[in-house]
Amino acid sequence: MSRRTNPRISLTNLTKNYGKSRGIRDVSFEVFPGEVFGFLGPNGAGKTTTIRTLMGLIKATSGSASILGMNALESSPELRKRIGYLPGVFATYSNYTALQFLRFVARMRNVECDDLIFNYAERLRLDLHRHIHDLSKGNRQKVGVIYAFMHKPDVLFLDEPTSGLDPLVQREFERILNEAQARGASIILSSHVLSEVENLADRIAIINEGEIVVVEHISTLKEQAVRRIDLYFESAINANSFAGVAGLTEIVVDGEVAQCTVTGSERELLRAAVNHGVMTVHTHEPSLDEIFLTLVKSSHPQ
Amino acid sequence: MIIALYLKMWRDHWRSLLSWAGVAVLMVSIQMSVYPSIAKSGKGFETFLENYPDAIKKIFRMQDYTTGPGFLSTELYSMMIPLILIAIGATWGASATAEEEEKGTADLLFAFPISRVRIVVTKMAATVTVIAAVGILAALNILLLKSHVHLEVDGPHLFAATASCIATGLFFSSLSFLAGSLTGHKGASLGIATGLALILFLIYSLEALVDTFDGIAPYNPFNWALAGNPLFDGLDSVGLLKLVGSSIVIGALAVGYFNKKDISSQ
Ligand SMILES: Nc1ncnc2c1ncn2[C@@H]1O[C@H](COP(=O)(O)OP(=O)(O)OP(=O)(O)O)[C@@H](O)[C@H]1O
Ligand SMILES: [Mg+2]
Repeated sequence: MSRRTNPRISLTNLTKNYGKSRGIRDVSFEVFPGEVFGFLGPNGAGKTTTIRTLMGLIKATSGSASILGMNALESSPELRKRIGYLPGVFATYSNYTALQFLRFVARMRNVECDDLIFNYAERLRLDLHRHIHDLSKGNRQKVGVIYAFMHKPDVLFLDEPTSGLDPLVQREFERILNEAQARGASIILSSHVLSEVENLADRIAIINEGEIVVVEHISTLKEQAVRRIDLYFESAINANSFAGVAGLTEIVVDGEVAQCTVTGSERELLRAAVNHGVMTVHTHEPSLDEIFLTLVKSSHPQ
Repeated sequence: MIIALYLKMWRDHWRSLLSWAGVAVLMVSIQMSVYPSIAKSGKGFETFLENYPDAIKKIFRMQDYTTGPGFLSTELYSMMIPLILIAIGATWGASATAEEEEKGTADLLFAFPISRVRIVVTKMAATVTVIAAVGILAALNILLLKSHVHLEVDGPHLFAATASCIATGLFFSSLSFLAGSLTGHKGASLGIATGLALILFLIYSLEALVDTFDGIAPYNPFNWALAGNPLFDGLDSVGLLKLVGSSIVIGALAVGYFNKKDISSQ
């Protein structure tokens, strides 16, 4: 990803009201060529709404969006030709076999991509000759993955793509995604879970209640994140021994166990712990919720 | 038109299409096989019918019942065939966009690099052809059997009646396209189109009896289709034009609205 290039995808104050109820408000971010962009938020935050607006499936209330230099809100066939889209709930024509369905897709897109279909199917361990209504949820999702990638799109919108995939297949999915990225595709990857995108995405946006909370590099976010660390000592210790340790925001001591909350680097705390003869360190990786809560708190100070 | 999508619609409906076409063929064949006994009773039957109340004769359009055109008109062309074509047309229309929205497949259909207008128009084209095909099938069935059962009917008149039935099917299928586009629900779309068809047909049937329905007659598509008696008098071009013209207007409204709307997902 290079900041010197122009953004592939650019949203400016994109807003969608569903009648009275909230959809998204003033969503703005940019995605660059060859970038995987994580799009995170809790249920009902507005991830799907944003993506479906970019696909032209629903009409924006206000704001603007451009993709590949074209107006995304007019969503021309010419633009959709270069986009791959995996819906959050991938419903397909279940009276087809996977292969029949994917060939139908190829005809509708006017592309010839049998080779790629078979290649992906083998890698994802999908039996192309089974009827879609006989496939399990995860196997159906594989059909969706192939559907999104098979025409080598320049832009990909993947709405919770790994839901239902087992870990082995998830790994293969990540490889397929990396190949697309290496080809220069711009990819928006939505998820509830930071851990799902952190190995893939460079930057993420967090959306909550329809509004963007932050757009940031993952590494930067993690540094800022609040973490819980449990320290197990040989014998009972005193909380006062950790007074003034940089980054430590809270400490609760119960006999020989200390539960600490840390923001940013853990280094100072660990150093102090070693000095006091720590035996075991138990780190709770920051969950999306925790990062998210910190960010919401810091973005809306009372 | 998009060939792959056009063919898909036929494929998706082939089972129900086969049964409707089967019903049409069966009904035509059964009616045709009854005709010789009706014709034989000839004058006797006519006098028997004389005793029917006028109202009943009017409702069932029983004039010249024992002649070929009279028989076909009463038994097939003033109710059964139009209703079959309406049922097929409304089913295809309701599935076109509403079922896709309801099942959530609209998200992938309308993500293809094809404009919404072209997609819906392709589905309309498929619907027009299927209605026409079944209508023509019924007419061919009659032509095939008519000499066997000594039923006399003028070929062009039969096709004029077929054209009216096809146009009636079109009218109500365009209504189901519109209702599907507006509501996004297959059941609602099917219900509105077939429900209206049944009510309007009832009104048309009772027109002869109920004076208050006279005001509706000029706007009733069944009047446009049937009142001209195409089996006796040949093509009713004004009625046909009204049916086709209003179908096109309703179809255009359906496409126009669908093109602007938010597509619903699961
Ligand atoms: N068709 C609709 N009509 C009215 N409100 C809607 C509609 N679709 C979504 N919403 C509302 O818009 C908001 C955003 O929903 P959206 O589906 O975009 O969230 P999401 O981030 O994708 O959530 P999830 O993680 O559960 O998929 C929610 O409050 C939801 O209730
Ligand atoms: Mg969603």
